[in-house]
Amino acid sequence: METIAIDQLPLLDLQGKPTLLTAHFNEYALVIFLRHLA
Amino acid sequence: MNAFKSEFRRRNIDIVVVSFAEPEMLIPYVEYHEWPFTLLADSERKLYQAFDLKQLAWRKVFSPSTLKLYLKLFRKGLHLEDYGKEDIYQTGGDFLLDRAGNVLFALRSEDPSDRPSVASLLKAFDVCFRQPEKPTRRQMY
Repeated sequence: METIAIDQLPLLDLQGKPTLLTAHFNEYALVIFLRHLA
Repeated sequence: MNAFKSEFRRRNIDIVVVSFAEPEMLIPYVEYHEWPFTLLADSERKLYQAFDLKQLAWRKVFSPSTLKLYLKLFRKGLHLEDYGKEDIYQTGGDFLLDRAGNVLFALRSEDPSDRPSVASLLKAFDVCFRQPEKPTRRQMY
């Protein structure tokens, strides 16, 4: 099974503060990567 | 997607949307679409790279299926907003993950119209966690 080190890859919330993906889900996540804004 | 939100919740799946746009570009986008999902910015595209989401070739971006999708969306009333500089070549994807980062389902878009249906996502999740059926008396030896 493919595993991604999501706890080592910081993102930004809408206020521009660093955050981790794991802070935004409990057990499972459907992560949708946008193509572009439309 | 909203209609299926309870189905995701029932399976303990939270929905997180990631964009490569800058956070300040996303605020008007969220306000316009009134999304009930968490939206995060990956401006440096580190997560996009970790998930192996690449740049598409020109012929893929403007493929007949992409044009067909946008024609359909325009007919439904989509109008393009100006969110500033965009990278139309960046591909997207849809992934089901657990907290350890194990990928339970992955779809890396072959072109902008290549997106899984909600039903197929739910089905993929259920298949991952389907309990093996107990053998019936007839199957027992």
